[in-house]
Parts: sequence; C-alpha cells; structure tokens
Amino acid sequence: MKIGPWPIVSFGFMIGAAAFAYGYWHKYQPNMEYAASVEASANTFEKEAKTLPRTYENLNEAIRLVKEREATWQKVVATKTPPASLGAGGIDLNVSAYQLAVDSRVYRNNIQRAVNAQVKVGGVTVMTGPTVPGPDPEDGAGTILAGYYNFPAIPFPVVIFDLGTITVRGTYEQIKRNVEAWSDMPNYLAVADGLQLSGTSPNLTGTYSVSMVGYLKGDKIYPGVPEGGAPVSPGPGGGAGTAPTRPGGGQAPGGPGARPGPPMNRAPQGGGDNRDN
Amino acid sequence: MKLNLLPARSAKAGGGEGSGLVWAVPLAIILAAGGIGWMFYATNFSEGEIARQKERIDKAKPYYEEAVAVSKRVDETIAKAQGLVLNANLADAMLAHNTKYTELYDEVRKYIPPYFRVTSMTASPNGNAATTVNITGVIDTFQQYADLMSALVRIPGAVSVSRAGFQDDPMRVPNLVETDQTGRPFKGSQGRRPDDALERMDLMIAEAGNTDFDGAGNFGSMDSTVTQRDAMPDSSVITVAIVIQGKDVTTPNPRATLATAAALWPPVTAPVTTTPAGGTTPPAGNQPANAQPGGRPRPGGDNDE
Repeated sequence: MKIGPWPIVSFGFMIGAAAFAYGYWHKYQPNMEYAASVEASANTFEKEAKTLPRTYENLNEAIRLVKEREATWQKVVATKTPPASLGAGGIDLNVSAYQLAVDSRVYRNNIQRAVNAQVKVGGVTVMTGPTVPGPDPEDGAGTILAGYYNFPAIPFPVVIFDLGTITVRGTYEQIKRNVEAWSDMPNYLAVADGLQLSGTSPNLTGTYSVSMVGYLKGDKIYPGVPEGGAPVSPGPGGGAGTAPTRPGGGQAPGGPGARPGPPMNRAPQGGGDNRDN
Repeated sequence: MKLNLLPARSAKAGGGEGSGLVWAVPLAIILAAGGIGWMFYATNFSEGEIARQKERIDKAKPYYEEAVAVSKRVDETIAKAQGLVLNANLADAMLAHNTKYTELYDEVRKYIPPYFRVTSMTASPNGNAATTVNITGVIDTFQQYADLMSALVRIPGAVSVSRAGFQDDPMRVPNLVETDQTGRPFKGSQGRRPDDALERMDLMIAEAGNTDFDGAGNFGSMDSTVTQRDAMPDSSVITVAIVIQGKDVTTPNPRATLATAAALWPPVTAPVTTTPAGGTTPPAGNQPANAQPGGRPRPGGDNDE
C-alpha cells in the first residue's frame, strides 16, 4: 500500500494542529487569564505601595494634630479643673462612697463660693445669682457617683451644672466684662449664653444663662459600697420594731459584716486619655 | 491487456511517486513542528508572564503591607485621641463662646444712630451661620424710622432688617368744612382747628390734659429700681430685627456633648463593691503631678500599687 503526499501532509497538519490546540487552549489561554488576574493584583499592590509616603505624611499629620489637641487639653487641665482634694476646694473621688456622700456636700459649697466670686466680676451688682445644685438627697452612698459625678454614664467623672438665668446690673462695660470673664473662671469651664441687655444706659440690666463643667482629677475611683435602702425606724417603746426594709426585698443592707462583692480585676482602659497616647 | 483503472493524471503521476514525497514529508514535518513549537512557546511565554506578574507582587508587597500597617496606625492614633479631641474641642468652644454675644453687640452698636435710644438688645441663633439681633428702642419721628433702616442695613453681614411699632400720628392738612375755611394742619390724635380764635383756644386748652409733670416713660422717676426710660410723649417704642449672616451664636451644649463621649470609650461598668481598703492615687499618664481629668479612671481603694 502506498501513501500519497497529501495524507502525509494531512498527518503532519493534524499533529501540528493538535499541538497548537493543546498549547493554546490548555496552556496559553488559561495562563494568560491567570496572568491577567495576577497583573490586576500586582497593579493594586503597586498602587497601594505608592501611597506609602503619603501614608507616613498622614501618620505624622495625625500625630501632630493629636499633640496639638493634647497641648490644648493640657492648658485646660492646668487652669480649668478643680483641685483633687477637698481642702483645696476640689474633691477627691478616691474615698469610700460613704465619705464621698459627705464630701460632696462640702464640695458643692466650694463650687457655690467659686460661682459667687465669679458672678461679681466686672463690678456689676448681682440681681439674681445662680445656685449650684447639690447632690440629690436621694443619692445615697451607692448612687452618688452616678448621680452627681455622672460616672459611668460619661466615661470619666465630671460635674455638669446648668446654672440657669443670671441677672446683673451695671454699665455696658461692666456687664460685658462680667460675661466675658466666665472664660477666666478658675478651675472650671463655664459658658455664658443668651446675653440680653435692657434698660437705659448707664443703668443696664444683663440677663444670661451659664453652664459649668468640672472635669475631676483622679486616676482611681473607690469601688461602690453595698448600701441598701433606708431602714424603717423602730416602733415606740423600744419594742422589737420592724425589720429593715430593702429595695426589692433583697438581701440585708450592706454593712461592716456584709459580704463584699468581687473586686474589679481589670482597670478600664481609657482610650483618648493621655496615658495611652 | 491489463485494465488501467487509474485516471490518466494519476497514472501519469504514478511514475513520479518519489517526487511527491519529497515535498509532502518536509511539509508535514514543518506543520507538525510548527504546532509543537507553538505549544512550547505559548506555554513558556504564558508561564513567564505569570512569573513576571508575581515578581511585581513580591516586589510591591512589602511596601503595600507597610502602607496598610501605617494606615492602621493612623486610624488607631485618631481613634485613641477621639475622647481627648472631644474634650479639648468642647473646652475651646465653651471658652470662645463667652465673648460672642459681647462682640456681636459691640459690632451692632457702631451702627446705631444717636437718635435711636436703645432700651433692649437680644440676639438668637438663626440657622447655622446667622443670628437675629432684636433691638427695642425709642425714636421720635417717622423720618428717623426710615433713616434707622438705612443705618442698620450697613452692618456687615446684615441680610435683612425689619421694623415694627412706630406710632404714626402725622400732621395732616384737612379738607375744608363750615367751621374751618382755612384748612389748618393738625395731627390725627387732635381735633380740627376751627377758624374762630376763641374756639381754637378752647380746643387747645382741652387738649392740655396734664397740669403737672407727666412722668411718661419713667422719666423723672426717683425710684432706684427703675432703670429703663421708655418713650416720651410723641415718641415711639419700636423694635427692629436684623438678620446677620456669618455670625453664629449657637452655644455649645456640654451635657449633650459629654453624653456622646461614652461612644468613644470602651464600655465600662461602675466600680463594683469590694472590701474597702485605703488606696493611693498615683499620678496618671503624663501628668506631672495630678491625675489627668477627662480620662477614664480606674477603680481605687486597693493597695496593690
């Protein structure tokens, strides 16, 4: 049997075509598709890598801005926060809540003295001065921290007072000085708002409202105390009386013999305070 | 005789069989080799392409990872400082606000003409960046009422000035009637002036109701508690409202602002009950002497530090 030239050519063509097809569809095309996806990834990596200098600039800028804010805050801390001791006119929160309930009343009077001194600045006559609210009589030792010092509703102890309307009388310059001087109030941040002037110069009446904030110094806060509800007075005649009542009918009011709860074993980590930055 | 079934052309070519193979075999080899060669080339090329792209990734990846890490540090730096920034911004805003009203009033006062005797001035926020200043005062004439508007609209940023309250009592020339053939002008609050001189005098006597000091608008009052002098006779107490763009007297709200602070710190519960024990308060963080306020405190009462 003889084979002609065309079958030979066809045979060679088929081998070549099969190799071509294998190379194209089994190797080239999938590899190139994969390469394209790798290239897309490479482009992404390179694009992100090129942002590195800018990212460092951002970091430096962020650090600079934070330091700037820290510096601002340091100035506030230096002049606008109450002392950390009762004797100096401030409050020490690292005392037992029983003691804190007592100290807070003294502290309230200290704040009132500070406000009284401040409201007279400028030489005005105070027609209606503000009253600093004291601890709520309902705030016992167990709740005074939350009730008066807003902790932990606000993540740090702080006293906030909306002092209401203040009315002063004087000349325009006196009233102006009086209002602006709230910026200079020692140990507290205060904002005077809504100044209204009335009267005939030079006898003017200025009316405005003031809100006050006192960021309290203190790295630690004494744990809560197991104070229960107020006991009912025993009956007359020294009889057996009635048993002490407790809120919710729970355990006996905590006292010296009460079993303490577990201590807080981990200090809350304060983000945003300077210790961590 | 043999039967030749092959076509004439084949039969003719049959004599040259060797010459057909001469070109067919190389051509077949070329075709086969071309296909196989392409296969190897395509494989090598495509795999090389993959290797090149992976090399690009390997080269860029350290920088990429560094950039990601630095970005994360930026986020952490900002996140850590959010509470601090909140407090510092609140302090700045509170301190800055105490002069806003007085500065605004100082600015407005420059444009109040001397004939407008001011008895009251208030200001209130009007939107985000505007303030409405309300001024109450006394003027004497309708001309002043007009001139006042022209004066106040000169206040920088004033976008509108409105007015109210002028008691208009102009002098009018009346029509003629039997008793008044002259048409003498008189105010609306007064009666017609008759021609007869005696009747006219009687009318003027009747209009003079007060025979002693009037004391209108608290003028002449010796009461020390009265500090405001209002309108004199023939004067009007008017009110003007000026909307000034670019002045913002919106006050910071410390309580609401600090209430949002909780979201900037991790959740915390109040210090729990424990056995009381004396504790010390060490200085916090970078505070030289005292603890840092505005930062989260730790439970005290322990002796372990």
